[in-house]
Amino acid sequence: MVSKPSNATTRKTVYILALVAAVLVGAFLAPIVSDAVAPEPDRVAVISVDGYISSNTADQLEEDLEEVRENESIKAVVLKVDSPGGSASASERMYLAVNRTAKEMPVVSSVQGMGASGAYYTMLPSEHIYATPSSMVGSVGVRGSKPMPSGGNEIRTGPDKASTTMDQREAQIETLKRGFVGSVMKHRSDELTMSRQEVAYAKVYTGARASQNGYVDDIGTLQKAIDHAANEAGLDSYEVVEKEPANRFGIFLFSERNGNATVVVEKSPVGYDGVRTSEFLMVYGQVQYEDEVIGNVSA
Amino acid sequence: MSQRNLLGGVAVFVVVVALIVVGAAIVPYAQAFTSSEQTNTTNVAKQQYDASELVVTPAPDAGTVKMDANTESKTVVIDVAHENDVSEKGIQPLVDALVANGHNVKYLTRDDARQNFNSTLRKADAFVVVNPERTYKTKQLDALRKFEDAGGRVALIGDPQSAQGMSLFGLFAPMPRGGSGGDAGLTSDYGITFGSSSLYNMHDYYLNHQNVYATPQSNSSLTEGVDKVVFRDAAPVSLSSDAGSAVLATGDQTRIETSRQSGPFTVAVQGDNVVAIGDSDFMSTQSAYEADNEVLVGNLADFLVTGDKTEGAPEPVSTGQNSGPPRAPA
Repeated sequence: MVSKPSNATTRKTVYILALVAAVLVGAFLAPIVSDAVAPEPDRVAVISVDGYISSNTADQLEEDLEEVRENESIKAVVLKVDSPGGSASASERMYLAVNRTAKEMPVVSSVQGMGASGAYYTMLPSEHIYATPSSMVGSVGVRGSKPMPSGGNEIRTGPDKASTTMDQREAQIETLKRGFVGSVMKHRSDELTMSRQEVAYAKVYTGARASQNGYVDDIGTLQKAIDHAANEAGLDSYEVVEKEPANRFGIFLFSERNGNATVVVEKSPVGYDGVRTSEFLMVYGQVQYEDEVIGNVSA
Repeated sequence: MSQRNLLGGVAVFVVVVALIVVGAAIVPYAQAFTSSEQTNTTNVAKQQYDASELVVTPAPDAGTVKMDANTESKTVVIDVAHENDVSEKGIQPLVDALVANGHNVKYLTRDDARQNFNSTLRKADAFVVVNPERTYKTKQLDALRKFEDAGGRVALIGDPQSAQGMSLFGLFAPMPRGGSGGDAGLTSDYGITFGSSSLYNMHDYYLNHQNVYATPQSNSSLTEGVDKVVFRDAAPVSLSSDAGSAVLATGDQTRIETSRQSGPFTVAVQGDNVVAIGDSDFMSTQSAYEADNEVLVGNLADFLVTGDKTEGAPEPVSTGQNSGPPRAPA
């Protein structure tokens, strides 16, 4: 005959089981809590602005910068730039995204090879711009195709439905130019040694020259830019986190033809699938259009 | 374990689970309520740009091409025989004005130029050349000079050499007047040369830096009533001292695109019977009503029909070395 356990024994057993359960749960939670409570190291984010600037590039940069602003451990941003620019609207979006970020934390830019046109627009809100001597910077201007001749095989509800007049097209491009040149003067008039009209020539400069005429602040590498950003943020020690290069879907390539850079496109930069529109470009270099594609990119 | 303890344990379990489930349901709403990103996003773009400072609006096209000349019906010949880079739209306002005022407008075809150049000029009162891309034969130049000497009116209108290297006036290779053999220059024959590079102005322009303004430089019939014209692709015009007077010039901040040499630059010249204008777009349907371009087009039309040409000039060309019975007209 088996005797019933006493009340004391039962209580003891419950306590032991509770203790074991608590230890197991605690062992699982302890690292999580520890990580959550431990102070995060300060970080400098390095974000790449690479290749032709398209709406995809702008989407990616806007997303990256939003994450940076929301991440309390990131104290400064470095833009690692190697781009001839691209779509005017995408470049403008990227400029605005950087501008918003620069109001919250130091932003420093480093031109790797090319920081021209829309890419230069993107960098403008930076507290400091570094470039290597042989990099190319500038090209502050806008370009767009002339109005297309009106087709005779369709019916339109208005004379400007499919295209526009030369006057209207020129006025549109001039409007965009004013925005671009105006932003350059707004951000860099203290550094620039040239007038608004001289900037509007849209000339491109070597990094060496650009450091003299105020397009960039100094000659320097990416590491110098990172150090500068950390100093501006008051960081003694920090980690560097690199964001992946912007989405390159529909990327553009560069090639050399007779010494001139040629932008080779996977699809037309002036339209959507099946519709040829008049997108305005802030890009440096010769643009080859759809029927001149000489190669595709799968990156 | 007593039944009471068991029921108590079950009750605690149900309450805790209920709290967790309700809490999980409420948290998303609380987060949405406390989030400022969704409803109070700063309009960075509007802070950065002032649309009123950016927007550029084309001036409305206004005015009509009017002719003041009150003359008998004249014949104006427009050269299309020398691969002239000119479209119907490119000269429509000028042609319309002439026709509307009772004048005849004829086109010199390549066949006419080859076989009936002299006779065509003989029946004409004015001759208009726009962007020729083929040179004139020496005989044609001689005929044109005689035409002009006899009081026939000549208008030389040309744009700069195109960016693709397609020569316009470059084919009018300057040659000594009366140079013999082969092709010869036309504009140089009149002491006038057209620049091969476009003008631009980064300070004062209409919509685009290549659309430069030009203003009158002297009192002339060509610029009467003109305050300011717009030339969309202007070429500088040079002239010798006896070729006429500069009547339109660009502003002093105008430059030549290739050399960056700064102006002002003469863009229109008027002599007794010759005018030279370094832009053809001003009389196109697109530009004829910008600024005072329509006044300039009207004045040009007046100039073409107000000459006093001697009847029968230029005389038929004599092909023989010795004088003899007159041959049939060329």
